[in-house]
Amino acid sequence: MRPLKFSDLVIQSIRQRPFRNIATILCFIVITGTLLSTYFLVGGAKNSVEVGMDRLGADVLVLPQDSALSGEAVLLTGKPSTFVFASSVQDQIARMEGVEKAAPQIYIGTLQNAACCTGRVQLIGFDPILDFTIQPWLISELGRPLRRGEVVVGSGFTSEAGSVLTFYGKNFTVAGKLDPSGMGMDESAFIMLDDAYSMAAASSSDAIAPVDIRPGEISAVLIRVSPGADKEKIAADIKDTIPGTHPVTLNYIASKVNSQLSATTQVLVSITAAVTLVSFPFMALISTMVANERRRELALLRAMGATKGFIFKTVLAEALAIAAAGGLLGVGISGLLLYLFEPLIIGSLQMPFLWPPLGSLLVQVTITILIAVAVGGAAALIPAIQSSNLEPYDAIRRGER
Amino acid sequence: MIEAKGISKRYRDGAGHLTAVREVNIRINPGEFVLILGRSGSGKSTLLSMLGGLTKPDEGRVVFDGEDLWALPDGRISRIRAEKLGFIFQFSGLIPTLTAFDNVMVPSLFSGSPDICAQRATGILSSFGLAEKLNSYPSQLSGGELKRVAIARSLINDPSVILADEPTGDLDVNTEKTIMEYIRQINHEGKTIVMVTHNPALSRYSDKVFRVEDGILSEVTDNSGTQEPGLSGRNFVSKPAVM
Repeated sequence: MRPLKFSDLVIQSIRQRPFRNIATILCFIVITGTLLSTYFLVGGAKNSVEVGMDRLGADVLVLPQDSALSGEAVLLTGKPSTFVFASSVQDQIARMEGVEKAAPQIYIGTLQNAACCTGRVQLIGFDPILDFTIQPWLISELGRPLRRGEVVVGSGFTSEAGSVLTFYGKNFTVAGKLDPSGMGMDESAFIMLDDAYSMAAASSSDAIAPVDIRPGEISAVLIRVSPGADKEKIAADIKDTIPGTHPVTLNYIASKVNSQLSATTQVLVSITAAVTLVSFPFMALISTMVANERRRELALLRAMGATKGFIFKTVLAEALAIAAAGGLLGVGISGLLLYLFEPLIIGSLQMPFLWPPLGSLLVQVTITILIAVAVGGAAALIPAIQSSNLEPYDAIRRGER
Repeated sequence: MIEAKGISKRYRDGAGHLTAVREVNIRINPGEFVLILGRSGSGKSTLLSMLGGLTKPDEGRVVFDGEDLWALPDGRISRIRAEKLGFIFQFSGLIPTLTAFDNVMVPSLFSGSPDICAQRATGILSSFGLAEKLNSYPSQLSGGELKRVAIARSLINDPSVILADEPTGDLDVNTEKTIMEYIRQINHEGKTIVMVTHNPALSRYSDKVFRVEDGILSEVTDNSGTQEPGLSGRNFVSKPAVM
């Protein structure tokens, strides 16, 4: 026969109160679920912005002032849009102090349910000579620059290399696919600037609806600042000196995403706080009830040789075990729900999202479970102290009556 | 040896105090079977709990094997309870979700020798006729079986003293006799027994009989044949003839 262990004592006690344990575990599921969801959304958005901006390879993105919202939507979620300003903006920016590179891009939203287009996506035309964001990737991944008539697609496309996509009646061969970033570029297709202009010029005859873009017009300027230059200052200078521009930096995008998320995170944090505040006295009450019900049993343990410390440990261990179980279930259930419904959640929130790195996710899961365990432990602290100080014989005799 | 020197215990009772045990002196020698008789509320259980290190006396001292019990830290008293004392209560006090074997094993958690105790538990339960009940839960055992498991539990750490509080209080006559035979057997194997009961009929199993009334202890019978007096109480009542 196997010797009895401390854990057997804790487990048998937990088994005696299944319904109350389930109620407590439900509290912990809600607490850890909302905590993890909050981190999932905030961390996912943050990760997406960081990865996306890094992938973009630009320190500052300059958009037309009157199309700032559309431009940001292209960047963050890939919502297709067409807008332009004069290419002279790019020349002005390139001449500014602290600007190392300035590359133009043109944004064209394609048509949905039209014979001339594969589907509604964001088409981005880049200048192969000035570009410093797409070209380096092409060189490293394809081993060559993009050719006329070719397209590189974001990770959200189902098309594979070699397949043909049609935009405004013009066919493009898929040359490659970008890695996911969680931002708008996942839903964008990249072509050469000249292809964009020629496609636009021919659209009046080749497509159902024409693209109103002429050579000399661009939609955005991507900037790389000189080493040591202040990105925020350069962005501010551009806004001040070039009318009609809307410079966007990583900090700006990050704060934009944060403010976009703030309502959601506030709701989640409020739910977490409310559930914790309501649950804490409930859990403390349950721990007290359990400790009271176990008075005789705990007193018997004292009579058999248990120290005060052992009794304290026994009561606390039960609460910690339930909290840990609730925490584990909470992160498991919320993780599964977030994984299954990620597209729905992210789609409804209209925000960039990329699963946080595994290491960071594991750290957060651990922290979440530790918070649950800490809350459970704190709730059981007073009952544990009271139980350890009970008068053994008095408790045993009371239990006999 | 257990020796109580002038121990008293008072409990709060409304605005005043109720004295449960008054200045009791008692000495229990190794291997003795001592019975403490008394009606309900006489203070006999309180006295037993003070002798066993479960209740701290308001006055006086309890000396166990030369150590002043209540001068020791909690860890040391607990160690003495775990290794040198075994308790049997009126109710079985078994944990309902543990098997008979595991219930007997509980005190081994505090003695630090669970592997040795595992073999010992099987042996004791078998010797008590419970070899087939090792994996039975308390709800599957009869009253007598529950009591035997409780006695087995008190013996698991091989203590030198067994303290029994009304161990036959809720049993029928036949089961009571069986349980008392087991306890006497344990005594014959060299263990000291201190048992409190309201039933004078159990006096025949013991070496010495004491009576407690209103917290005052007096020796009634000494069947041990020793000349050394076992007690001195404040209101000492002279020894009557053997019952």
